[in-house]
Amino acid sequence: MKRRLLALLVVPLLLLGCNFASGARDTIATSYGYLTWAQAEYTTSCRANPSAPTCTLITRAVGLHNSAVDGLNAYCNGIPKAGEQPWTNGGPCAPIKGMQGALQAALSNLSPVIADLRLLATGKSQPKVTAERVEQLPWTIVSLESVRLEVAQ
Amino acid sequence: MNVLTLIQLILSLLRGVASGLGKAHLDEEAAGVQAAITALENVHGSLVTKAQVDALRITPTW
Repeated sequence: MKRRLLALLVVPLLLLGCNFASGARDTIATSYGYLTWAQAEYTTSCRANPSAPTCTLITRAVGLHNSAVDGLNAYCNGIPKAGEQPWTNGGPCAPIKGMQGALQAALSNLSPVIADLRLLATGKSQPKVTAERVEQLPWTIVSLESVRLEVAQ
Repeated sequence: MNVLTLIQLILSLLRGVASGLGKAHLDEEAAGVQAAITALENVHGSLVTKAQVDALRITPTW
């Protein structure tokens, strides 16, 4: 699961490997889509209990995501080519090559947190395995230990 | 067919299968990935601008 999301986040960088700023922007957009979905999904429960693990993770991911946005803004805020508007006035990305490592680090920090968030969210909605459930589904392979744990709870 | 179209096709198939089997968590997963792809499609191939990058900033909701 984690690998699949990491792959999803890395795909934009591969698609546009020749243009670092575009690849970074696409990665941030992918993260944006997933995080806005996660926020919509968990806002009600997280307002009630913001210290829940899923909520803490989303909060952390939002911080890292915004750091990546800041990183891309800093990377593109170089000296514009002759005749072009500066980045802050709506001009194209004027890369500062020295900032590329910092932006890459911000993106690398973001990806595993998004992947963890997805794992946690998925785990939350998975049905609990109970002894009764196993009896109803005799073809399901479940260890006796996990069934014992469920019964004990 | 490009990579994004292919991923979307697989996702729509996954969601169909998930709802047929009553696997809510698969459907939920597909919805999250779909949201990510939609956001990517909105910017993919366009010029990178400050306004666009700033629009990708997320405001905490709690």
